[in-house]
Amino acid sequence: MGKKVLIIDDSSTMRKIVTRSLRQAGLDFDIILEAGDGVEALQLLQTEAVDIILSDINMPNMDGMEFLRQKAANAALKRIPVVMITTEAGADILSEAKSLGAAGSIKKPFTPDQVSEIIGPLL
Amino acid sequence: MNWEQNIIAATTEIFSTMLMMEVTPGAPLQERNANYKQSITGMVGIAGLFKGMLAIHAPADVAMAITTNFLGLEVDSINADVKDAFGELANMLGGSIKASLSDNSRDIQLSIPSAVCGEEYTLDYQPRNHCTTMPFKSAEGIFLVELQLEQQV
Amino acid sequence: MLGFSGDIKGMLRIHCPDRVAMAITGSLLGMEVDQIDDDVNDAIGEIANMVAGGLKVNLAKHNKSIELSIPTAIGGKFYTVHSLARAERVTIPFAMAAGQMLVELEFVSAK
Repeated sequence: MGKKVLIIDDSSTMRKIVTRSLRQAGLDFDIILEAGDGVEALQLLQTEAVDIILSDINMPNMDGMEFLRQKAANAALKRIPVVMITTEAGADILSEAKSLGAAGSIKKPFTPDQVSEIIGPLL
Repeated sequence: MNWEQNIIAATTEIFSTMLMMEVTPGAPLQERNANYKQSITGMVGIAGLFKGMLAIHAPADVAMAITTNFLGLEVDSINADVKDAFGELANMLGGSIKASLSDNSRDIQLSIPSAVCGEEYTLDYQPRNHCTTMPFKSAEGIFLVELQLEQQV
Repeated sequence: MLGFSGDIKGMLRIHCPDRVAMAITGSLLGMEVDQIDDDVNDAIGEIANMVAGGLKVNLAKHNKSIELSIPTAIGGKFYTVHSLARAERVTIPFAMAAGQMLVELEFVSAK
């Protein structure tokens, strides 16, 4: 159906791992876009329409929280769901992400099943 | 603190979820292994309430099999993907150990990970006590997870 | 090498050939050193620790706090060190009578 996902993580390894997990979760995205931080992601989103965004929290230049803030302030991007992927599973951090509009979160380590459970309903 | 149990819990969880590999812990090494041949080591520093280093060591063939499972890519040499994968594994193992030590994510922090590999190299930590090394067996071979940690006063 | 974390996270590494490492250890311990042994590993680890300690003090003056991990000494005939993440890196060579030493700092701002 031509679904597009954007993966934001400063580690290209982590982006590969997430890509592999999406495939194993049976989530067949036609296009998988990648960005290394929030700044790159916002740039990419000026020209690319995506169905869902998966984002790391700790990143250089612009972290996941600031990305959520800027995305929420942009009318064109507001309704795209964002799922945070993080090891920093502190309740304080996750509730802050939620208050900034995150649709959900995936805690590392994760299985493809968990990925599909959280992302599937958002598509 | 039972470090062996902490290492086993972190390693089996990460390998069963992120890599879908069954790994079986062996008996902790009595003496730490300092010499590595045709191997790769992923490592990350631990700082804060506890300070130390977490490392995962694997022979080249085991490391390539682990990377294939982890990244979903075929690899036939110790290339940048394998090195990145081992840094990321050390990072995840460190994150899991960190979470088991304190509920407050600010108490203990990880450095950035790095990987060392080569035909022959040695690794030595200082001080040499407080070190636990656990071997794990997988279908592809044996790898080691090593934790060197001291509590700060 | 030695990891650190806090407002800035990263790795500090000191690289030098065997003979430079032995010369540094000889000066530090005040004795003749003619092989790579525990003393050399400890001495170079300690140099990394002290350089990182100096970094910690200087960063504190700029209101950045970091905590240090423990040093690890790596030796061998043929190995490579690889770092991931898109870290910033500064490498400074230092010349001394016995040869050259590199001090490498690799870091990312945590927030």
